[in-house]
Amino acid sequence: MALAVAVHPRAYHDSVTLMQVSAALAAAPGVEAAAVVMATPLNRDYLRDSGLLDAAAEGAAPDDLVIAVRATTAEQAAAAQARALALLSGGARDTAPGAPQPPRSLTAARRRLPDASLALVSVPGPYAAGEARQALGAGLDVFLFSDNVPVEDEVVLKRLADERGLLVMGPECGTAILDGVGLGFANRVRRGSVGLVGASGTGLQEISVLLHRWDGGVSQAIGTGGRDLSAAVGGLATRAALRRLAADPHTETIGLISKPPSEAVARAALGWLVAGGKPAVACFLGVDLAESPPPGVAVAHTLEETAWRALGRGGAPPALAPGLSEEAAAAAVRLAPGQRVVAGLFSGGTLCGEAALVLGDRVPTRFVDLGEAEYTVGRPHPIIDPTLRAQHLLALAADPAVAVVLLDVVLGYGAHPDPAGALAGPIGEARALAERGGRYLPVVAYLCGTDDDPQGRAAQTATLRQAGALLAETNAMAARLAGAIAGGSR
Amino acid sequence: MKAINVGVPTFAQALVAQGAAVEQVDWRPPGRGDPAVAARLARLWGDPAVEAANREAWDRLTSAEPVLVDLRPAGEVVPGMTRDTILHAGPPIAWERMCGPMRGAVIGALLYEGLARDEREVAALAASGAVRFDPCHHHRAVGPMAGVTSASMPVYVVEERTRGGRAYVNLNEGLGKVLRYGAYSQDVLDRLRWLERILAPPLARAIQASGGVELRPILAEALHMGDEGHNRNRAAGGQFLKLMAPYLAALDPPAADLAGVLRFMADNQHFTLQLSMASCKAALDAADGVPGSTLVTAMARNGVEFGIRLSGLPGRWFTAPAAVPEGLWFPGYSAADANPDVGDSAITETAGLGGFAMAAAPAIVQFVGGTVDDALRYTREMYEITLGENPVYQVPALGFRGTPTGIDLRLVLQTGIQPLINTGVAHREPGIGQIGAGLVRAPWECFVDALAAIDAESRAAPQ
Repeated sequence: MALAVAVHPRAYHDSVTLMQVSAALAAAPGVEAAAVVMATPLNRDYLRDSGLLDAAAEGAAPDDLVIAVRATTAEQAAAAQARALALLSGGARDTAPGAPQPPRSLTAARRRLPDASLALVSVPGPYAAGEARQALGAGLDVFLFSDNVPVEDEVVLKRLADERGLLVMGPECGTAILDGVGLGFANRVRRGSVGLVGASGTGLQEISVLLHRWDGGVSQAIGTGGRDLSAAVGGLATRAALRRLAADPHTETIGLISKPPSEAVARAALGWLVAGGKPAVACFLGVDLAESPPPGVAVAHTLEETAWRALGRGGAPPALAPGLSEEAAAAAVRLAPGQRVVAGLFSGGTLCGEAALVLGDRVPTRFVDLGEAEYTVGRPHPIIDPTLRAQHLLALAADPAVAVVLLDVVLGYGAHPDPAGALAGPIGEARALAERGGRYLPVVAYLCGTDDDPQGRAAQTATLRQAGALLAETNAMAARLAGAIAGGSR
Repeated sequence: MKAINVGVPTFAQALVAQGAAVEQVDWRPPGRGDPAVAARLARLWGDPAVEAANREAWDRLTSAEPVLVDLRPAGEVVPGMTRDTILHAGPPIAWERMCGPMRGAVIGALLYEGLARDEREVAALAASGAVRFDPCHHHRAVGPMAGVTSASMPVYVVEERTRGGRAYVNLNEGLGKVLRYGAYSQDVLDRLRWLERILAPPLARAIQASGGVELRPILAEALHMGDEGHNRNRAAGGQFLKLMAPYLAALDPPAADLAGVLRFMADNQHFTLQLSMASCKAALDAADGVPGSTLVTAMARNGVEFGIRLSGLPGRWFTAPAAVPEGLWFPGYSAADANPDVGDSAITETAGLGGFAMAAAPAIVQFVGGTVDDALRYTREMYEITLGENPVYQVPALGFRGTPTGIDLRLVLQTGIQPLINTGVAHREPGIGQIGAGLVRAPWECFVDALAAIDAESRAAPQ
């Protein structure tokens, strides 16, 4: 039998609250008797008679609070004491009439959700850093979607985050998956043991989707914002993210993906990967790391290769899925002599970049990333709104130099509810337009998504096939397929 | 996953679809869209020094223990008080600029002190510089409405037991034609004399005999009983009278006019307003002077200007023109007759009472206008701009939540929400008295200026 009595000087609580807390304690494991009362003479007598009084409580004043617990073990008594304090400081529930208004600040919101771990910030650029600072001050990681945040502010934010062991994902971070929950534009993928860190939204999306497709899964996918690995920022978020993954018990392998960063920072990032002590894959798209990678770090040159190696697969992912080279040949044969160019219309910047790298200068290419700033002024991002892409598609159909159109179709949270459906009509129109001009126009599409995504990859696939598109299994494969069609026409 | 979304609601919707708990912030640009204000404010968020300073200021504010220990002539106890000093409410103001009610109160005080024999002598005396005017706040004191306090006036002595500071405030004269509304007729002077000679001495002895009256428990209980400690003080008045009566009755030698004293205390609905004010002043003074803290430690008006003070910038006032409150007018009067906002009683709102505790006193809406739902709504709104919930002053109607306490300059500027005060309104002419009551907000400019000052200080400080 253990007795734990705590006296809290001048801690006033109304009697109803005290009775509720006493009742909660009495029901706690191992508790034989409990009382939470103000130490008035009457209550002290009650405590004495109940065997809940000790010397400290004996000397307590009437405006002191006494929490007294008698339990089977000392641990149970201590646990009950802690529970009492938690209940008393937990804050009363506002149950009065009239709906409580929504919180007017992040600080106020935090008080309503005391165990929040994350803030998502998507306010206009000039205000974003202030909101992110408020979030960091409240002990929250920050998913910073906003753009037009000055680089000086980014550095200050990431330093503040470092001091508190927090993450600033961004600015301009569009994708993350934390604890199985997708943030921003993200796909619904299986939880698994591969942790990802990336400066690129669609880069993370593609790798996470392929990990899922190839029976693996994602522990965490942490976005760092596109500028993080620049010399100015020095990779602060990347380093913080890699530290998190190194300490995360669910993460066994780490994948780091970025568009061309500063070489010095890239080397530093490899050092951080090694310091993490877990097997890792690094993919710096478009940058050939001069030296060989440190031991424990594999280098991948494409997003598909990153996923492949992260799953411990040997060799390389298949160049083309079974049957695709025949489809490519069949299409190539029908092209007119002038049709030579692979025209890419992309909604994902990294998907666009990867496709361009895969094709190199083997065939003439003309790639447009419709997510670039010049195309998104005053209109939603192409992942959300396919209108602009449909217009460009029709323009390409009228161009006799175009041999094949290459499209990425991004699924997942945040994306258009039926991107395949929205593109099906324009694809049909484009091909009909080309045919009226005497040309056969193949359209290659890649669906970046999973069957678990809200849009459902299987249904989206069927829609695109019905519209006459040729489908590939990865973004890189789609580029290869388009290249095979355009190159095979010679 | 539990997250907070600031910005585009679709992010929150996607999280909810995945089973996460999300709070969506009702966001609008901070600083009411002024980019300079927003930029300065941004620097105060996430600053560990500011966070630590505010925690310290909060602890001091909420652990303060005001105890009424004495009642003595101001000249004997108020720091820096002299025979030719007149203290007044609000930020500093020169005689020439004083509003009607304050001028009237000054005339009354100088007549009461025998420093002048009539209005003309007063005017000459005041203009000559022979009389020193200073804010009550500069002398650890507060005063309601004109707040005029002179050397012979009895003042409560409130001791802050946790850190050892003191606060002082005069006695409440009652309603109608009284000094604090600028009246200075013979009736007014006679009543002041009565308070000094007949009420104060026995009450002082009773206070001493009690060993000191803890004020927070009285106010806490009063909130449970429908008071808010600024414009509704009946419950606290009853509690204080119950407490003091036995000591008053037992005085040896007995009080000269015990019945008169008891009747005065019983009839005066706002007898304990001054005790509320002094409690709050004592607690806020304890929290003042914490470097880097953005806690507002005073809101006060002199009938011409509204001023605020900040813990991290002690001794400085940030002022803007005082507004005329909006509310209900006594028959025959309108806003055109009203004096702008006046008095140190906004110290109660500054410490989590008054307008901030309106949800505990729904009857107040009969006084200031509005509905009971409004009373709840105003208190809920004040949670958005305060550091926390009062550990002692609770609102039964809100599930015994503590009142919103500790105005954070940053939250005012972030949300655009100005602190709300409920207040009586004086006629602009001296001596007529109260003509209504209503609600008024602390001026936005005060907070913008305070932010600029903090920003300048932090830039000037060695890094």
